[in-house]
Amino acid sequence: MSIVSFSFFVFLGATALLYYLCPRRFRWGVLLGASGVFCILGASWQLYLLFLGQTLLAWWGGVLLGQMAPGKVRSRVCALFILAQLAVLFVLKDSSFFTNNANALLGLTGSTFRFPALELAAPLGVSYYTLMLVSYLCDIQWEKTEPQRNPLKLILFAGFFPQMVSGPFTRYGEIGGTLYEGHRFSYEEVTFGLQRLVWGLFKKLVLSARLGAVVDTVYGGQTVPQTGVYVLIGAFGYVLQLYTDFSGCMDIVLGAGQLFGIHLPENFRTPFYSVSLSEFWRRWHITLGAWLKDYVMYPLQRALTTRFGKAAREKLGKQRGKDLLLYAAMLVTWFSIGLWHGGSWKYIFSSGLFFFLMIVGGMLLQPIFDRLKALLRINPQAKAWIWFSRVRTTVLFTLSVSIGRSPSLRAGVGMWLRLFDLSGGLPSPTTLGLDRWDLLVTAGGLVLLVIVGMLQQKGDLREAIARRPLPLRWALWVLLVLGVLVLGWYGPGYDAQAFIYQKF
Amino acid sequence: MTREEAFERVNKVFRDIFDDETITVNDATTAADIEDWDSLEHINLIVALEEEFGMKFTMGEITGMKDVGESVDLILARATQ
Repeated sequence: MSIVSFSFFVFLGATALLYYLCPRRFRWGVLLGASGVFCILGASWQLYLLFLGQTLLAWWGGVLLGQMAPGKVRSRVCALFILAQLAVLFVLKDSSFFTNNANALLGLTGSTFRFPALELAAPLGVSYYTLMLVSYLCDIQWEKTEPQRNPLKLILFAGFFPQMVSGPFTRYGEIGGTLYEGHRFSYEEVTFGLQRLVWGLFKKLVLSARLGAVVDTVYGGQTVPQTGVYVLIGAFGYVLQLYTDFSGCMDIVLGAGQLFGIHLPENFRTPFYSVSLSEFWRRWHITLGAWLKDYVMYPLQRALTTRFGKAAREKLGKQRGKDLLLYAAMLVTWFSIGLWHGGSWKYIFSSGLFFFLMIVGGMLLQPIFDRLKALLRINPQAKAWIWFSRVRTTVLFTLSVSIGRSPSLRAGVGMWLRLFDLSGGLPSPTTLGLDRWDLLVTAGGLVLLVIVGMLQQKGDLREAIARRPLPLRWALWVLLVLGVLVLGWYGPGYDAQAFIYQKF
Repeated sequence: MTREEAFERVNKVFRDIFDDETITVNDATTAADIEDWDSLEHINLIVALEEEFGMKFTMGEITGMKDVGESVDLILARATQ
């Protein structure tokens, strides 16, 4: 069941109705039941069994850790339970990456032995709930949270239906209470939830679907050449498609959560307004970045500093020794981000290592940049400089992430290398997979997106609209609903099932 | 170890980590008061404190410390265990 399908909205409405009709203390049970139905109908009962198995294992681990005294034994038990979770993720998602690379290396040595490739279809949501269960176990080990005694409550935490397929990642200590609480009906919460949902549908059905057609045309390479301007159209189109698709999906998920009075964490904060790549990643897929920082980067940096800090300082000097260990921790973290997106070099480079190189390179060259800025008398607070930095950041992000759309790292890089091959000429609007009307709608929708983004910089837009006179605010929302209904695109290549971030 | 003694040793660690002999921390000092104290430097600081006092903090304690006063409380509580 896709969260942009008609059946999902019927299901969501029925669940909300049941939720508010039930006595408050049973309301979390409604969410638990609905989540089970969603998973079985939307994916399969096999996935639900796998999910239940993993969650019950984490529940048992949590209870066990809660009974043990802190110390080496408890750390090892915790590590075992975490490894079991990661093993599932690894086998289902990334094993082909390692077998392919191992086989390529074996080929170089002349050996005829090959590892068998596991052709497994990664079940929906496994990349999301597995990491949430890992964070649950870590938080108990680090005494940030108490274990949940009731397995059913942990099942709801890991599998709350709106967020199960594409996140956001939540932490048990932060969300647990609000899932089980049984919220009172609030007109404001429900209307705000619905408004957010419609805005998400607008992004997905009006914009992302159309952008997808353009991107497919360029990357398909059948009707247009993959050179010159087409490279730019494809790459920037893809990043815009990714943004409208994923942030639209998050609007639907967070809106659906709000219908039950549940506030899930934000995953996007107008990322294209970032002035540096590290800031960009703090505003794009926020909960993934935060997860990796807390559960990979910091523990690793700490372990490295404890173990090698002294030796590194003595050998390389105080600052360089410190920096080297930091870069090592960053390298592993960025590699993990890439690997999480998919087990192939194109993702590991385009969503991971490229950013490691850029950010660490930026840190190393900082003194030179500072001197250049002083020499050119650049005021870093000046509006023009801030806008220049925003554009530069977006261009760098696009340069790399667009490679993920190509079939392989080599094909993606190859496409960028053809940027200056202008033999393909300029595109005429109708060769891009959209007719003039669709192009106009896309352009208009993007302008609206920019305006909304600018207004959001100033505060919550829904609250600002709610303060307007009744006829005006209703007119605005009715217009948006009509916009989605009339302009929502179900053209060729459109697949209601597919959100890009479900694949990761 | 008295609170004053703990503060003196914590202060020494801060001056060493941030390379600044003018730093004097008190109960209310937070990351906002010291220019280079970001989340990455925080980990270096904690490891240095662990070395200085010969104790270990959990990741929960590390990320939960709000100001220097809280870290000193934690150090004193750990030292008497």
